[in-house]
Amino acid sequence: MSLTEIINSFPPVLIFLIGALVMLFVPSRARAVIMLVCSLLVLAALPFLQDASLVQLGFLNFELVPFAVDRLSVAFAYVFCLISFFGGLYAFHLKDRGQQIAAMVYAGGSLGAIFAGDLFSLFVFWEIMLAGSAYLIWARKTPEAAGAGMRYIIVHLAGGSFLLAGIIWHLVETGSLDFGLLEGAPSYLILIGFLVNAAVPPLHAWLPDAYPQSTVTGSVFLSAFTTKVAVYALVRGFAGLELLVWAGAIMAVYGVIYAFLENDIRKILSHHIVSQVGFMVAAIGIGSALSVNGAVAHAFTNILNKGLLFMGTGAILYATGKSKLNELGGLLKQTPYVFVLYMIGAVSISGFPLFCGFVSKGMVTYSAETSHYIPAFIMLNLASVGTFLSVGLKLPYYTWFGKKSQTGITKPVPAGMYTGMALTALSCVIFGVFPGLLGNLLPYASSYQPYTLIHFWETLSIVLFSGLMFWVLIDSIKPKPGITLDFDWFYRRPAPLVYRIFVKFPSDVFSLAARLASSSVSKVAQIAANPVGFFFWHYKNTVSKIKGEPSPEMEPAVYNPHRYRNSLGIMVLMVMFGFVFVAVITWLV
Amino acid sequence: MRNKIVIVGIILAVFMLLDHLFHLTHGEGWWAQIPAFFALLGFVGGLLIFFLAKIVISALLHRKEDYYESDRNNQ
Repeated sequence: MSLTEIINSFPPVLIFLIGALVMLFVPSRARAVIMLVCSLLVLAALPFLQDASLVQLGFLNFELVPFAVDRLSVAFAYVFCLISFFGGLYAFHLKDRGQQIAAMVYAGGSLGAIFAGDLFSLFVFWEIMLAGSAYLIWARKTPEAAGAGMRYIIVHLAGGSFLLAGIIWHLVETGSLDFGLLEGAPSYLILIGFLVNAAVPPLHAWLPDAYPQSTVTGSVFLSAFTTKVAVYALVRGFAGLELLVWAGAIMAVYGVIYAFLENDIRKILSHHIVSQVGFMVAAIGIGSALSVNGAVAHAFTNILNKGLLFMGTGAILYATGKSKLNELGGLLKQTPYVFVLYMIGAVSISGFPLFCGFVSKGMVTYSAETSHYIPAFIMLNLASVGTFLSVGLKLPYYTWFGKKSQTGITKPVPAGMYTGMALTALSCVIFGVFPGLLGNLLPYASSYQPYTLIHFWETLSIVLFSGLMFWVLIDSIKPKPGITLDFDWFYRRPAPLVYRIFVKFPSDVFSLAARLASSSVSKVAQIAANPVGFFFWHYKNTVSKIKGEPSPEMEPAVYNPHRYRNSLGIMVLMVMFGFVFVAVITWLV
Repeated sequence: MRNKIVIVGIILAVFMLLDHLFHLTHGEGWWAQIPAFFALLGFVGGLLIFFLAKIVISALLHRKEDYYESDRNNQ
């Protein structure tokens, strides 16, 4: 068996899951190394994968394909391996076994999902991802993280149920579990499952609720996988569905408006994920070869950009213990490198030339324009304005400049964090300077040229004038503490009421029933222990009532084990004797 | 504030002139006819986001940090 054959018969998810298993038994440094080695192993194997269904598995009466490869899945696999490697470096200092294993399981589940050749395998990996990601939220071990993690799980289990229901219905209707373009009524249930994970409003509130509560390193992985796997699934299942164009355009603007308002740095980035995924969802909806390429390219570059931004804000949270803009400020002297690396991510995601965001964002907006979705085209450009305002100006300005924070940094940023950030930043630049590297990975052959005078002009105009707008209104943009209500209000605000109806009321009913039952049992026990005495007492009670005397006390039942022993013994003896007598007679006759 | 607006106005005029001279905004739609469309979008769009965020949404939906927690404690 040659090496290529081994690679083509061994799903990458297994490498990560085996790695996670080994992590159970080795010390913390070795665990960090395992994550890096597994990411590199899979990355090195990707060029050797053949476009085919590689592993087939019989399950009940179905033929499942847990490992199938095509250009779309390989493109996602490349960036997933890159971010696992960079994230692994960023988390190198970590000693928490649970978090390290959860990150491995999460990354492995994501790789499994993009290589799943049928809907059922996809669902299985989908839920594996949920397990890993939920742990990364809970691992922060704060009460807020506990609550947010629980809401995260509930929302995703609900989304997963829609997905599974849709898959089963689809199977009943078509008799097939193949994962290609989906149509018909069952596909809408599957779509809801995908849209929950893609954080499309109004199903998005779990994301800005949960991601900022996660651990410093956990949020880097969270920002990379769940929404992008959903983007992958939407590309495969729903490319060209017009509904998605408008959903994407709306979410792109919605996300930046909330990001612009936020005070917590990681919450700004979380709202901004919603906006960026909006670009991808809109591009998927357009459905042309260029726009699907754009969606994949934007997912690719966004994982790097957003990962880098979460690394930068995570480093600030790690070093200062704070993540609120009104508590931060003036950190430039203490964390100059974090600032520079963060800004590379920020200008890249804002679409500056020579950074990867320029390439992918251009593809999406250009495809919207050429496919004549002009309102969507303008909304996406508006989202670009908001991106630069919130992520490129407001967040860094009030973190590294502005009023100096009282505390400053309390512990130094580890070297591993810097290395992870530096390599992610480097890759943002490499994919920006050499757009062909990314172009070769995309599902369709493309002749798109990002570096044109017109595209430069567009970007320069948007960036410069949104910057000027920030400068004009800088005094009114000051962050203020507080939260902005979002769609999670609908399940968080009524929670006490829901608790009262579904938890407290049934438990009250049960405890009432229990009290009734135990009191009636004790009554029955009382009667059964001394039935004769009870009837006598009842008689005396009635008589005294008629006479108008106070009711007599009931004689307590005194248990005397010897009371009926003799008489009962004699009766049993007689019965036994009767049996023997009958037996003897029968035998004689 | 007034000085700032004047400066923005001058830069915008320069952009409009450049756009007019070199035809830098391409496209088939109505928007391509507006001189320095993307510069206007950058500034006006920024104002629009500012207005929507700070004036509309913040006024209606801004709450204290412990909005959900305080609610739970009251129950």
